[in-house]
Amino acid sequence: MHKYVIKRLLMLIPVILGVSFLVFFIMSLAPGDTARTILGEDAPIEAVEALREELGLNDPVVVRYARYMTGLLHGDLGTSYKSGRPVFSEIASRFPATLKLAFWGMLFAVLLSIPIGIVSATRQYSITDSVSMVLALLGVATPNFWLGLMLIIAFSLHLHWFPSGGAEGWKALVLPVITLGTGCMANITRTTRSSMLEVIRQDYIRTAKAKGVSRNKVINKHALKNALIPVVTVIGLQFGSLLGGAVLTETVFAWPGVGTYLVNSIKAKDTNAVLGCVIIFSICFSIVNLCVDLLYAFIDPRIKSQYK
Amino acid sequence: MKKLVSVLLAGVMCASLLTACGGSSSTGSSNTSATAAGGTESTQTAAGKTTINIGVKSDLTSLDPHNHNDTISAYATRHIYNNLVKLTADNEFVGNLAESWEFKDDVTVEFTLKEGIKFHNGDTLTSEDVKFSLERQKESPKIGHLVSMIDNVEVVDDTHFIIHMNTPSNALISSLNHSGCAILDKSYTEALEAEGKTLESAPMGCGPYKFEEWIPGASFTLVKFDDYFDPETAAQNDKLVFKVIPEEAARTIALENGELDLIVDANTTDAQRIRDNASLALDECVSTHVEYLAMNTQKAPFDNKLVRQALNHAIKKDDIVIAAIDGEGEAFDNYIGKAAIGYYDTAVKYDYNPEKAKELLAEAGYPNGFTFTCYLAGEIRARSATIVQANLAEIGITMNIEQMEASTFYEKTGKGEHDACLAGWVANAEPDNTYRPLFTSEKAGAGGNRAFYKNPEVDKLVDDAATNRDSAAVQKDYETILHTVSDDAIWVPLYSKKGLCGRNKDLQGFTISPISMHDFYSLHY
Repeated sequence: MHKYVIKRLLMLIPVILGVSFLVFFIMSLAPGDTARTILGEDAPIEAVEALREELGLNDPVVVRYARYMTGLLHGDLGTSYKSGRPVFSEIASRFPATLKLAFWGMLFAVLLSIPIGIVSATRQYSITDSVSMVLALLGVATPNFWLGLMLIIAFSLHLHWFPSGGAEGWKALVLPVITLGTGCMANITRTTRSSMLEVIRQDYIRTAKAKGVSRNKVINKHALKNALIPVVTVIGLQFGSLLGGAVLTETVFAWPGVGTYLVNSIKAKDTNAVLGCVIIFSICFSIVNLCVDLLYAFIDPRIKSQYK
Repeated sequence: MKKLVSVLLAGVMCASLLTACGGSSSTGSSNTSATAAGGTESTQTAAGKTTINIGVKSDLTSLDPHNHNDTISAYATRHIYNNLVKLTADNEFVGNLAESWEFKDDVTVEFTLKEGIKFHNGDTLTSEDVKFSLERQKESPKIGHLVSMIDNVEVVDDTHFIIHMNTPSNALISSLNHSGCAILDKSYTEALEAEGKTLESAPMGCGPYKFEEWIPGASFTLVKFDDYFDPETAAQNDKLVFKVIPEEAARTIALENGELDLIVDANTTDAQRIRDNASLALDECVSTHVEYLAMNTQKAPFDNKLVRQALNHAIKKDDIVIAAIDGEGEAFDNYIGKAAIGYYDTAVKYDYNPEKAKELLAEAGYPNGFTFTCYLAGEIRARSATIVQANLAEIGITMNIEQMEASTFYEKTGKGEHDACLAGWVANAEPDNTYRPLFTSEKAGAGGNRAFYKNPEVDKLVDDAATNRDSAAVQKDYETILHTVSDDAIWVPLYSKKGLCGRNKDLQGFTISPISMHDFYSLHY
């Protein structure tokens, strides 16, 4: 098990190298002038050229990549072209907000979706099942930004229950969490339902029922545990992508997270900032996936033997 | 299952920890001011409220005045630091830190500083601080160009110094009003930088506000400086909290909700909504903005003046004002925004006359029209383009629209790859910063002259206006330039957008700035 974890962590190195290589060269291929974007349309050519020289943008792309990688090997994510501040501190100042939103959004989704998915599966084709699935479909189909604005209008503008944006206090968390969690909840509900349906049709469930095991025990102990593997996979993937920043939710609720920072950096062609974000996201995503894989072993001990 | 429950419980505990200590990584000296959840603070305590919450569309990029050239950062630095001169509502430059100045000759200006001005740390402002600041600024790749005319600063004594210019320039005084020409405390800044720190972490100046904190992506806060030297521009509130709300509709809702007291540069879509709200007020002003279709005068068919004039007669600008900016502006015939210093009503006007346009096209040798491509960036310009496209179709011209991302647009139009493009310009306090980039040969392309207009006579007039000390002659130069470029029809000026700011109607002391350089020190309830 330890060896497996170390092996997976070591695999982060080629992941980071591959991701940084791809992003760096894609950014350099994209048209547009970083210095001009930073200084604005009305900046004189001399100022643009001076800034380009200072940022080292006149150097060949291979030289710039080598310089970046040298810094990265020393643990330096570089300096933001736009702000002139270290990329690491820029991300570090925003990451707690992203983590907080992602975690609570996911918890909200998980706590509601798994029970709903179980009920839908055990009462297949009932009104409860139909209503749940229609709501799940709506949840998947509803755009985040629209839902966010509707929640702001209802609960902030008219009812004054929650602030319309910002990240101050627990009340500010409620609407973004619901907005973010709704889409995830819908996906997890659908996965839970289909996975449960598959499991409860298997022979050992029928046997348990025949032996007189109570319905609750059959569902909660025998069926759910075996149905959880795909559900945990979906949760892991969704949580991993949420750690990459929920740009639309962050924008609507003025949530000071990494997603908005990444989008602004892409607009400004701030290569160092974009690379820093992508590398951090890759690490987070890989770690979340590793955690999910380890969780499989706790859910299904048979899998544990494969982790060598 | 028990293990899974344990994992979930552990997760909840971690999250509680995150809530307790996460998300408050900030630059600054104290905690964020508590804002009532539900956004009821402003509405409950508007009378006598001394903290003013201002909604802005993006975060600041730097707290070092020499390291940025953007409006949002300037909202902070203009209030933390101060300048030698300031611009009045009547578009006149008067002394701010400077008591007076005198041109000794075309390239030598002697300044006298006001006495006893204190920085936030108690240091007294001296001529050495001015010399240090201007020389530091000259090294800045972002705003060094503003003081490129300065050769050196000679310190006479603590309150007297002389600026020697390397070339005569009328732009010196207006540049000294720019937020980038803020005056720093030499000893403080040098000591800070010697410790390996920067002004980003501890900005300090002699402005009406002290820096309190900056939460990246969320807000930045300034607090009143009690020992400020000028009663006229001293803070009339205790604290300014700038809240970053990128989404326009959310910003307006926060104002309606009472979470904000003021939103700067309100969205045109929300303007009527703010007007209709009895508890809000909308401040409006004629701006220095002009939106235009620039035709590449170096490329056929736009190298033909008659074709360019034909397009000026073919476009129905009133429709564009409605489609692009919801009627919050006016159809425009001039090349410089009305509120700009350097605006004169001498531009040739072209009425909407498709028949005349067809005649001009026939005279130019294009009786059946032609096809060209118009580059643009941004959703608002795309809306304008569809109207222009329809208008031109009526006179037989096919306009293909190529919409692209802003940095690509700048690069392609800078290289002259376009036939025509949609662009805009907001003039600042110095006319040379508008006339030179827009109309001179040296700035063709990326410098701002996207029509690639090359006219030696105009170049000469711009140079004369920038250096001539006779204000009547300068005015004559600018009037002639406006007439020449509009007669040559290098653009089709489309519209000028209003300046719009929404505020709580009880908030007093706000004067909207046509160039978005708003002052917030006088805000009070």
